[in-house]
Formats: sequence, C-alpha cells, structure tokens
Amino acid sequence: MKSIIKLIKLEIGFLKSSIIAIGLILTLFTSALLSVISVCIDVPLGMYNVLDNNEYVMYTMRDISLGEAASLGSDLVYGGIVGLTTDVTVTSETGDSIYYVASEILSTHPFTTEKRGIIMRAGSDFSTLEQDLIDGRFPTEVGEVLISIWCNENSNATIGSTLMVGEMSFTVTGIVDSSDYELIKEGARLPHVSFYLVMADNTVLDEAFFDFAGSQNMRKNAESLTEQGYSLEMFTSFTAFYNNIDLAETFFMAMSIVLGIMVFFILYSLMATFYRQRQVQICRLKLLGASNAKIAALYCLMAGLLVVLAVVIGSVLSIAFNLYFTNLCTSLFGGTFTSHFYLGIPALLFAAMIVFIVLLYLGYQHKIANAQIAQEVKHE
Amino acid sequence: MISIKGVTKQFVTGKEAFWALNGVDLEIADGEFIAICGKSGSGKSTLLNIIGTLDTATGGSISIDGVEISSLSQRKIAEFRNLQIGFIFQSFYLEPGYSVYDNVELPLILAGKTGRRNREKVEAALEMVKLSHKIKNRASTLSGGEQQRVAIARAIINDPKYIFADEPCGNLDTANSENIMRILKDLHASGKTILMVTHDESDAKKAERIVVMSDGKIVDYDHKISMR
Repeated sequence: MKSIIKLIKLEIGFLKSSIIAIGLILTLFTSALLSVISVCIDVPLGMYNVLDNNEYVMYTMRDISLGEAASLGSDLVYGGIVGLTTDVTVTSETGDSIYYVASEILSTHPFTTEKRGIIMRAGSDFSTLEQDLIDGRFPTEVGEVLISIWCNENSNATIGSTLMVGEMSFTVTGIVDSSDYELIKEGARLPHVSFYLVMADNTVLDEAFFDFAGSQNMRKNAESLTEQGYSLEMFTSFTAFYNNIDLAETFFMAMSIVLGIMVFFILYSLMATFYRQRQVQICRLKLLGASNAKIAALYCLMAGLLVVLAVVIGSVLSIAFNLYFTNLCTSLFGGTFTSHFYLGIPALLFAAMIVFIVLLYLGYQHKIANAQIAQEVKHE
Repeated sequence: MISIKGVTKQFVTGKEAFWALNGVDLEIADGEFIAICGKSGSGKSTLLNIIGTLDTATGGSISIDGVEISSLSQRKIAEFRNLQIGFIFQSFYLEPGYSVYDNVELPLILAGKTGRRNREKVEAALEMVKLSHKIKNRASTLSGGEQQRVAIARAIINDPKYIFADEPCGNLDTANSENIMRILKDLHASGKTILMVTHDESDAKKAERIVVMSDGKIVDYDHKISMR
C-alpha cells in the first residue's frame, strides 16, 4: 500500500494542473447533483405541507348536475350558480316573474349586496335552516323547492306554487328566511338568496361553486373528490399549486438525471485522462515490473480520492444550497419547507461512482496487456 | 542461465503477416556479456523484448534459471521483470516529469520498498554513474548521456541478475557512448549477465561474445570482429 501511495504522490505531482481542473469540475457537478436531489425531495414535501394546512376552502365545479351537488351537501355551507349563460325568468302561477339577467349573476362571492344572483343550497342536512322556516316544510322530492321571503315577495309565489326557472319547474313547499350566515344581521335579508333546491334531479348547472364550513385540509379534500371522480380542474385556487408539485418533482428529477450524466461523463474523462494520456507511463511502469493490479490500484485510487473529495465537499455545498432554496420557498409560498441532509444519497452516489471507475478500468484493461509494452517501447 | 529454443514471432498488421523470428536457439550462461548484432529488421530487438518478457513469442520456449517464462502468471512475470531484469533503451525511457531521484527510485517503489534505505540505494546507484550532483534535477533537463546514465542507475537499483540493453548508445555521441560502455563493462565485471543489442561494431567489441542475426535467425553464434 505504501508503494501505491508513493506512486500516487508522484502522479499527482506530475498531473497537478489536470487533476485540479478535473477535480474542481467534478466537485461542482457533484455538489449540484446532490443539491438538486435533496431539493427534489424536500420542496415537494414542503408543497404538500402547504396544501395540508387547514385553510378556508372554496372551489368551483363546472358542468355539474344538481344531484352531484346534492351529494356534497353535508360539507356544504352554500353554493351559487355562476356564469349562467342565459337570462332566467322565475315565473309563478300567478304570472309574476322575477327576471334574472345573466350578466348580473355574481361570480365569486355571493354575499355582497351589490351583486345579485341565485344562491343554491343543495344537500340533505338543513338543520340549521329549521329555525328560519317561516311557513311550509322542507323539500323532500326532486323538483321541490324552498323559496326565500324575497322571492316570495317579488314573484308572489307561495306554498304550492309552481315556479319556472328557465325551463325547469319546481313546486314550492316552504318559505324560509336565510339567517345561517354570520354576515347576516338580525332582520336583514339577502335579496339575492332567492331559492333553495334540494333532492335535485339531473339538471346540469352551468357552473356551481362551493364553500365549505370552517377550515379544511385542501389536499385531502382534493384527493377525496378526485377518488370520487371529480376533476382537479375545479380547484381553481388549488389546481395550479397541486399540479405544480408533480411539475416540480418532474423538473428536479430531470435536472438530477442531466447532472448525474454530467458527473459520470466527467468521471469518464478523468479515467480517459489517466489511461489514454498516461498510456506511455503505464507501459514504463510495467517495463519496470508493475503488475496490472498495481496499475489498477494506482489510477483507481487516484480517481477514488477525487470522488471522495467531490462527494464530501459536494455534500457540504448541497446542505447550504438546500437550506437557501427551502427558505426561499417558505418566503414565497408560506407553509413549512424544511431542508434535510439525506446521508444515503451521497453514500449511494459515492458507491456508484466507485463502481463506475472500476468498470472503466476493466474496460481499459485490454489496452495495458503485456504485448503493449514492446509496442510502446518501439514507438518511444 | 537463459535458454532459448525454437522461438518464433509473427507480427500481423492488417491483412499482412510476417515472421520477425524464425526459430531462434540460444544459450546464455550466467555472467556472460553478449552482443546481438545484425541489420535493421533482423529481429534483434524482437528477440530481446521476448527474452525480457516485454513481448510474447508465437512459438518455442524460453526458460530463465530453469523456469519456463510462458508458465508464469502475469503477476509473477511483472515481479521477475522488476527484480531480475534491468532494462536500458536507446530512448532512455525515463519519466520526463519526474526528478532523477524519483526515476531511479521507481523500481524500488514497485518492489514494495519505501523506507529510508531507498535514499541510500539511489545515491549509491547515482554515485556509480557519476550523477549524484543531479539527483534533484528533472529528467527532461538532462543531456542524452546523462539521461542514459540515469536509466542505467534505474536498471541496477534492484540489483538484478540480468541487464538487457537495446541500442544503449544509439542516441549518444562517441564520448558518451564510451562512457556508457565502460559502465556496462563494470557491471559485467561485478557479475551481471548482460545482453546488448547493437548495430555498432565498436560497441559490440566490448562484449565477450557477438551473436549475429539475419532474417529472424541467428547466423553466427560467436562472431569475431577483425581488429583494424
């Protein structure tokens, strides 16, 4: 072993500038690779953390039937029809009608008095409305409807009336004063809370949005609804971020692959420098009695030393980079982005690089067979 | 003792093949100083390379001290080359980037010796070739004659039994050639077996026996060069 170390010292002394240059490049790319791999793991985790925060959840569903909307009713606080493409007339038996202009339909938040629109409440649990039931009963069949006092007063529809909503007809079963929202003051009414639908049929709404009571885990909601077959596209405030997790993972993984290829290409260049450029020197060593094993040990150890340096320094740099990047993500997205040092990654990379060096040596071994010595002596 | 029997060597280049050696027989006793002479292309260097285990014969056998070379493993051959043979070449074959000391010490390092004794041995070898004052110089900065003397010091550092020299004076002027041949004579006098390839008659005359080769065969086993 001492003789190999001595030979390594001699070779390093001779190849100083090449080794420093290649070593530097190898270290930079190794540190970049380790950094990107760590970020590839930590950033998506942090993004999931952001989505796993309990937050006020609201999302929009398109082309959804009333039945589907009703199935979500247990979690629903309110829903609204938005983006109605045609004007709607609600007509009672008496001939009075309420004309809803499509352009006036509100788009995001219904509870502003400046806007008008149709608020739809779908679901089976109307226990909070019981106190608001002024007359009649809750709907129990498809096509039955509750109406608000405002609707009652403006359309003159009463219990038992038939209301036409566009081409849909509904039978009024009760009148309710909507008071289950904190924003509503005592005695005030929401003029645009026009009617409630329950036990809906297959009428398809243009668009409906839903607001859940309290803060909920956005990701769990999304994944639960995805399992039920709803598209994530409906999560207008959520979809981009959620899809970006996959995008981030894919991006960092692609970068890791590219950087990994660069690292192993640099290693290949290193070994090529040793074996091709030092072929004459290898033959001199064999002339003087160096065995193939000694030659292998000499150059594989030299490469191995560089790999150790690259991985150690690369690990330190990757910790610093990962820390910076996760702090940046925290400041940009909020939530909790934590950087970790995954010891297994540099260890695996080190092992892979050493195996690669040995394989390259085996590939070059045929070039340093006995017969080469005489040829090199002749050429010299 | 070196015993060479029916050794042949074929070289194949592309579709062409030619026989560099066509059945060589030769016995070299311990302590002999033999010069192998012949025209260019006669097979002198090829024979030397095969005896020195730098190349392998196509046919025939070579035994050194009773051991058939072809039966040895690659590791054993390398060890034999390191400890028993000292090579001297026309182009010196030094490592130009290393110092004189490092070049001479190389065979010792390859033999697994790295202690303080190395310094003493290197200094003694360089003293013998009168180059102690250049011990720290880079090999590439030396003259041709000096480089060849460093090569000799390197060749003898492990105290090998055999010295194989291929045109040792080929790149040197007369004065340096005389110097090198004197060193080889001294080594022979110390008991080493020397096999030297040369096309120079004046160098060949320094040997005990001259073997002449032609077209891959030995045509004269004890050639006498007439004195003028």
